[in-house]
Amino acid sequence: MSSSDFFSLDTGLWLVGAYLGLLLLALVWRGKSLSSPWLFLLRGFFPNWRFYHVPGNQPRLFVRAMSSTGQWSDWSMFMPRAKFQVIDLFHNPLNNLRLVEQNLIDHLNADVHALPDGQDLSSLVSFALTERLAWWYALQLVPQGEPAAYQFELRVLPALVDPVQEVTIIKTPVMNRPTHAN
Amino acid sequence: MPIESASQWLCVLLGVSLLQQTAEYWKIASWPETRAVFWWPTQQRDVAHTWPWLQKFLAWMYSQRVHQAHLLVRAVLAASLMVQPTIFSSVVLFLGTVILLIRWRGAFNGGSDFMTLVALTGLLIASLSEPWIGATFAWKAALWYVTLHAMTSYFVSGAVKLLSMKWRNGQALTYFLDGGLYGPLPAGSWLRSRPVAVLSSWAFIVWEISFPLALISPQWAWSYCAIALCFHLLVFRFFGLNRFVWAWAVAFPAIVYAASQW
Repeated sequence: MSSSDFFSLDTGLWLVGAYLGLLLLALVWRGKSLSSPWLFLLRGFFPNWRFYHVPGNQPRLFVRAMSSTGQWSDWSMFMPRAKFQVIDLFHNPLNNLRLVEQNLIDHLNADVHALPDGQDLSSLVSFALTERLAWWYALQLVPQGEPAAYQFELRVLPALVDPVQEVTIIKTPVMNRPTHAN
Repeated sequence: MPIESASQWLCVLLGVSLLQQTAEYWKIASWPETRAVFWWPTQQRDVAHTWPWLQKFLAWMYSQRVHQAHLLVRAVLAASLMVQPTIFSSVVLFLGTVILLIRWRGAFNGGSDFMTLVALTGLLIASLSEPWIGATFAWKAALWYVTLHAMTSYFVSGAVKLLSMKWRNGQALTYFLDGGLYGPLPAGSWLRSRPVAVLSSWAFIVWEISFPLALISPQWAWSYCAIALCFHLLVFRFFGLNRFVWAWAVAFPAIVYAASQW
């Protein structure tokens, strides 16, 4: 029997059926074990392909910084924005980094909602990394030098609501520069 | 499309996509901001539950010099795919991708990472099984694997939009375009017009959900893939997702090949 005989239409349909069955099992299994750390880190093996499926609440990072003279900046929202360039099609590292940073904010929001009662925010890796991101953003908010202190908030902006009513999820105390921040 | 052409084109496009991604990783790794924000001693708490030897190995892999060396090796192996894939290149590129994804907490660029992993898994299937079952059957399995995932990606993406009232009435489209990297839409943009938004939304939904029809014949497959390319370029234009263009293009030869099998 040649390989082409073996790969007949019937075999192909069986393979398709088996694949769809596995996909379904993976989705059910994924739903039950989403909290597993390895499943989170290896979620690339279980793509759900639900791109932009529904307008949802937008978690956003807001930062303010205090200059060395003790002057606080206004709260500033971190949001990835850029001017369109055709060259970005081939090489777009900065904007992709900004999108990763926004993903971090999205994960922080999900982690906060999944955090068991009484557990400290600082136990979250996403919170620790966001502290560092907020510091980098705070550096841009002071005219020169480093901020003497900074503070950040995680706010959620509801989708398709006018006027937008933000909900503050986290408000940190005033903080100093993180270790090894630059 | 003959299986030889499909497998060669898949390897060439995968090589291009991996080189494009690797060049971006290289640049990003050189910025102090990256190392400061995604500071591994902090981030390694993600893997605190695992074996100490694995934690040490990952810490070593993510140190600056080793990470850069890894990216160089990755670039060479990605380029070699365009000439001749081997078991060595397939295994190292696959494992390297997993290691890079862990560095970015599971995903760097969402869907494009997933599609790249699908293509690399297809390559791995072909490379590892070829000595046992022959090149033809090994590549058939690989090309069908990639095709099924690509079909699923479009179909599921269209189906979830169809189930959403806000997509069906065009509201979601303008909402997402306003939030895109190159957004928001100008106040007077024609895409803010309700009939245009409704028509565009339905065009995307119908095209995505009907994507399995691409398997009817090679002509249908070419047409669906050509529209897919335009679709991904539009996604890039508004959302800046450049990697999606390259990652999904890898699947096109597999889809055209699969459509030639009836």
